[in-house]
Amino acid sequence: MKLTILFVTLFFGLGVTSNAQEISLDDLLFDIKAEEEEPVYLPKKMLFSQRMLWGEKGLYRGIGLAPKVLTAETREKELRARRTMFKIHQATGLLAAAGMITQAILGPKLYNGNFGIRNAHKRVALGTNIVYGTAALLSFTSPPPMVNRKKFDNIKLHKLLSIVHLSGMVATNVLANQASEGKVNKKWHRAAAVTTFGAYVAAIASIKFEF
Amino acid sequence: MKKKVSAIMELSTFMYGMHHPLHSFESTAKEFKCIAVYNEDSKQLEIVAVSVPVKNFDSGNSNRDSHVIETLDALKYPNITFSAQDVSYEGNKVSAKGKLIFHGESKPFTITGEQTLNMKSLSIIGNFDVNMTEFGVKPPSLMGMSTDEEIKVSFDFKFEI
Repeated sequence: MKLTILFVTLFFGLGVTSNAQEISLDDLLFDIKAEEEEPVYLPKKMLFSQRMLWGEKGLYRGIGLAPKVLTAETREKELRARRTMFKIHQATGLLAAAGMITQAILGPKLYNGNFGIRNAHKRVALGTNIVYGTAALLSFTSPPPMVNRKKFDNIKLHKLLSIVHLSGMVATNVLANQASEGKVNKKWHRAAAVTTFGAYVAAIASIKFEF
Repeated sequence: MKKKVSAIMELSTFMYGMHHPLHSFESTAKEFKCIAVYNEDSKQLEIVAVSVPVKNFDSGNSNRDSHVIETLDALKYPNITFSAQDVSYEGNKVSAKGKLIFHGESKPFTITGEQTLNMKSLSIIGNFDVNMTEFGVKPPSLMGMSTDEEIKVSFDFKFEI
């Protein structure tokens, strides 16, 4: 009996020692896999428009414009849509900048009494408003990114400046109508346009200058 | 005697750098996992496995990190993994021949580094380049310009032994 116990002890004892020394690559990979986290598809922090439209109980999910249940596949499609919207945002944003530069050339000529370009000024304004509006709409209605940290960075500055130039665009248009009706001095329209252009250029430049 | 050792997160780093015509940037993984088998007799690592969740990279710019997640299809392939059981030494130079799983594609890959051994700790420092197109990744673009295809990776793993 004692001999059997000794044999069993030795057999299993040796077995354990041997196993302890044989750690395989699969064991390491198993350990890594065991600690993997559950996927999270939406960032904790979202802009109010993103939460309102794309949040888990967002409007788009409610009316069926976006999938009701978030999975890796559905969220991937949303990110692809975001990327496309982002590219169009960049293209239309640059077109709007071109429109603003054109106005910066036409505007002073109109101020100096060259009324022949009044219609051209108006048409460029309409075009600029359309491309600017498209760029803004795409920005405010795009699905949220995967990451949205609290830290203030150049992209947050870009968004902050968008509030300034969006307000400026509205003011420029309102003052343009009022100036043409003689209700306000056209210098206010020019001041609003210059402020808008300044904020807009700064917003584009903020993409380049990271901090 | 062999034992399993894990890289100490607070002291280890794993980062990559990329170049874009507008600006170059670096991104550090806040959390990752690196486990190895350490031989106490030879004082060398014998097997190594590293896994870095793509979402854990922080370049200091949320939008860009989100863009990287999209570009790498990280919802489908959340981790970048390297594993090797062919680890060889030449002095303090370490070479780990194994496989790299990046963007869901697995390829043979060799990573080299330099080992420093102290009384209670071991550190491996190294760097390597990954060509993203070889793993089916299209270089991301901003303002119509793409980044370079090369991703420059550097690491510093510190283990308590």
